[in-house]
This record gives sequence, C-alpha cells and structure tokens, in this order.
Amino acid sequence: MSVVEDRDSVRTCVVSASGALGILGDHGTRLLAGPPASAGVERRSAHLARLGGLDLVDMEPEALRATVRHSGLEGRGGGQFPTAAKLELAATSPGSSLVVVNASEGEPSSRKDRTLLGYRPHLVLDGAMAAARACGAPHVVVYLHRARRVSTSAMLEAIEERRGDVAEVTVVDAPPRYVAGESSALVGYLDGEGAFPRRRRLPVAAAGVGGRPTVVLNAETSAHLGLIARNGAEWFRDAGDAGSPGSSLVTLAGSVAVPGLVVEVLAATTVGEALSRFGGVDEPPAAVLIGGYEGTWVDGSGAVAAPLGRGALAACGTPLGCGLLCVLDGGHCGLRTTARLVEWLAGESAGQCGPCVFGLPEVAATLSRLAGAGGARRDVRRLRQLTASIVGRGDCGHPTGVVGLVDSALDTFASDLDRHARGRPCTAPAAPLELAASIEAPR
Amino acid sequence: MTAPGASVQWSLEIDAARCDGHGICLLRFPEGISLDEWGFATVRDGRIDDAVSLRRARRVVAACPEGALRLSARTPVAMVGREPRR
Repeated sequence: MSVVEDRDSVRTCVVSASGALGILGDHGTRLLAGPPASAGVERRSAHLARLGGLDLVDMEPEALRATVRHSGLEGRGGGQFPTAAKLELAATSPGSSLVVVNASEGEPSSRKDRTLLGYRPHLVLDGAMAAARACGAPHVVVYLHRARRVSTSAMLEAIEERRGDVAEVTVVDAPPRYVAGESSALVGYLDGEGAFPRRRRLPVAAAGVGGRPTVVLNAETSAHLGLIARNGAEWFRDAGDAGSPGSSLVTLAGSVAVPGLVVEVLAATTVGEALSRFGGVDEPPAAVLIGGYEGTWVDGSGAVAAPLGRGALAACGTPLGCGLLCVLDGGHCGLRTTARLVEWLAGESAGQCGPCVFGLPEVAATLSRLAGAGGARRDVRRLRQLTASIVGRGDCGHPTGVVGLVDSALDTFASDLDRHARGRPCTAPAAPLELAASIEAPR
Repeated sequence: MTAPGASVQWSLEIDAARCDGHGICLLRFPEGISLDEWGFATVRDGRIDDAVSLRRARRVVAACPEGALRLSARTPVAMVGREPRR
C-alpha cells in the first residue's frame, strides 16, 4: 500500500479548551488522518473503508515482530522503550501473554491518548491485535479512565463492533492517580494488589500480570502498530527522525492559542515552528516545559530552535516523553509554576519509598519558599542538595522525574532565581496549568 | 544459578519500597551502604568483586528486617518502571 504524504508539513487535530474531545481537523495523514471531528468517532465500517482490513491471521508472529523491529517504534507514554523488545521478550517467555493498552494518560495537560480513543478507537484496537498476534496473546486489556466519558464510550462502542479478532478485549477502569499509569503499577492493579509501582525481578514483558508475559503499550504506540502492520516498517520510518522514527502526537499546553491542542508531527520541524503554526506563539516564549510535568524546562530561545523529533530531543537531554509542550509566557513566573507542579507531584507519590515520601515534600516546601518572598540563597543550595540525594532513588521513576524538573527549573530560571533568593521576587503569578489528572468534562 | 566464584558479576540491590530505615545494613556493611538524611539506605556501588565481600554482602542481606536487600547475579533491567528522564 502506498501512502502519499507531504513530508514537510506538521499535521493537526484540534481538541477544545474545555478538556472534552473537540474538533478533529482534516489535516492528518497518519494517526490523525480520516474524517473531521464533526463526524465523531470513526465507526468500524468507515475505518475499514478508509484503511482496508487487517488480516493478522495471515501474518506470522515472527515476521510481524521483525516488522516492528525494523520500524524502530518506541513507546510513546514517556519511557521511549523499543516496542519490539517488549514483544520479543513476551513471545519468548513462558506462559500465555497479555497485551495491555495503557490509555490512562495520567499527565494532567496531555490529551493525545483520549483523542485517539475518542476518534480512532479502531486504530488503537488494530494495534493491540497486531501486538497480540505478534506475541501470541489471547487477551487484550484496555486500561482507561471511565470518568472520561467521551473517549470511554467511543472505545466501548468500538469493542462492540469488532468481529473476528485474534484476541478478546476487556476494559479496566484505572485509579485516578498520577503513578497508576506506570507499567509495574498497572500490572499490580490488574493483579488485584493496588496500583503501586513495584521493583520486579523480571520486566513485566517477561513476567507481569499473574506471572504471564505482559506487553504494556501506550495508546499512541498501539495506534502506530495498527498502521505499521498495514503499511510496513519502511513507511513508518519515513517520518520522524533517524534517532526515533515515526510521526509523534504532541499536546500543546500553557500560554498557547488553544491549550489541549493535539498535533501530529510527521517530519523533523522545530519546536518554534510548531508553536508558531499551531500555538499562535510567534516570539520565543519565556520557557517551554518539554516532555510532561516530570520533563525538562528549556529557555524560550533555546526551545524554539530545538528540533521537534524524538531522537533529537532525547539526544539533547530533553526527551519528548508523553509529547507534552507547556509554554510559559513572560507574564508568569517559572519558579512559582514549578513550585506549584512539584507540590502537586509530591502529593501524587505512591507513599512507598523513603526518599519520595520524605524528600519530595521538603523539595516542594523549599521551592515554594523560594518562589514566594521568603527565600534565601541557602534555599537554592538546599534544593541542589535535595535533588542530588533523591535522583535515581525509589522503586519507580517518580522521585527522579520530579527532581529532574526542579533541577531544570533552577538552571533555566537562574537569573530569576537570583532575584528570588535575594528576597526580591518577581510579582508574576504561577501559570495556571492543570493539576487534576483524570476527569473530562462531558461534551 | 551459577555457583559463586564462577565468572558471575554479583551486585547488591535495594528495594526502596521495603526499606524502613532501620539502619542495620550500615552497621553490617559500611563499605557498601550509606544512609540518606532521612535514614533510608542506598547501595553505594552494588558490585561485589571478591569472595570476602560476597560473604559480607550475604550477611547484610540476611540482616535486613524488611528483606529490602538482595544479591543479584546480573544488573537490573531498566525496563521495569519509567526510566529516569535526565
């Protein structure tokens, strides 16, 4: 199958500012291709008419895994782990495998996963079935928040419409916690033990739910698989950059024209081009937070020049993670904004590991003092000391992610920090970024 | 499992969720353990290079009242959990 694409363009899909699923543009050529938002969820008949059927039974599992390997697909939930490695491990580990589509999307400002569920649920399910075929899984679990009613009902209706799939599908309601989407927490929850991250002897792809090999795929990763199974590895590699091929979904948040806008980036462009074209941000902003709330602050002039490709951004030490770009304008204080995020993130700890339980609240309190009027130079030294003793600790990436955010804020907002530390803070407020993770306003 | 003494790289690992900060590990294996400011253990350099260290490491694993320490014959796989971003 040949697909004609404009490689120089960035493709979009629009999500309304209210947080509910909104308008789907007519510009997408890959994940966001197809009918506009006014058409609502794409039904099975329309999906098949547009993309053709996907006869997985005719595909050998080994050949399917080889295709995924050649495609270079990496996970889109934040970890950027090679998808083929998970499938390979599951296929070669003892026990019957399980595929889990992780659509819990715990990042408060991110919208990409629920957008896919809400408009292209069959594409997500096609990918899950391809994964199931590739590792011999008779069962697929879709892990989502039922409280997000629009995307959930679209997915439930899509499941009802499926016929002749290689695996059965079950929907599981995720707990409304930031860490509940972490893969070991997800496995713990499906095992009936609560959604707590756990250090495991083996990767979950080798021994996960009930000891069975468990392939956990972010919803976007799964949707990519649905297209890779149809169009092949070379087609997939024609987008993205050499370091990490394929198109990427990006959610714009913060001081942009439409917070919650989801864009699909096909070819390597720059962060600045994407912000200008889709965010209405024509001048370099004060700063951009790249990769999610546990991502990295980059100062505005550096950010706009950065290539918006997964491989390139990872090489710069600012990975795209879950695809979130939060724009901070000059009217908001980066330190206050970070303090607000850290306070929330500290409260989202699973409460299991000492450095997270005792360390993060102290980081939050010190940063808040500094962000307010009561800060001093010793607070900056104390923050650096705290982040150094917390990085790499704990059983999951949460504490490390939070102190990474703090360190990048101390670097990026250095001149501002100096004024705050001398007791002469700026008067700008924190940016009003979303903090509640999971609920979607009904449409 | 390969017998100790063969060309196996043993490493001491900690399960941070189990550690309750009793501090016994620091008393038993000060060369390999340090405690953070809240009293929770960190493994300094998990690699166990000789038979004497291996014996001492085995004892410290047994001494932890929470069972938070263990010896592993391979390096931990980064696939578990979210990878650190920076």
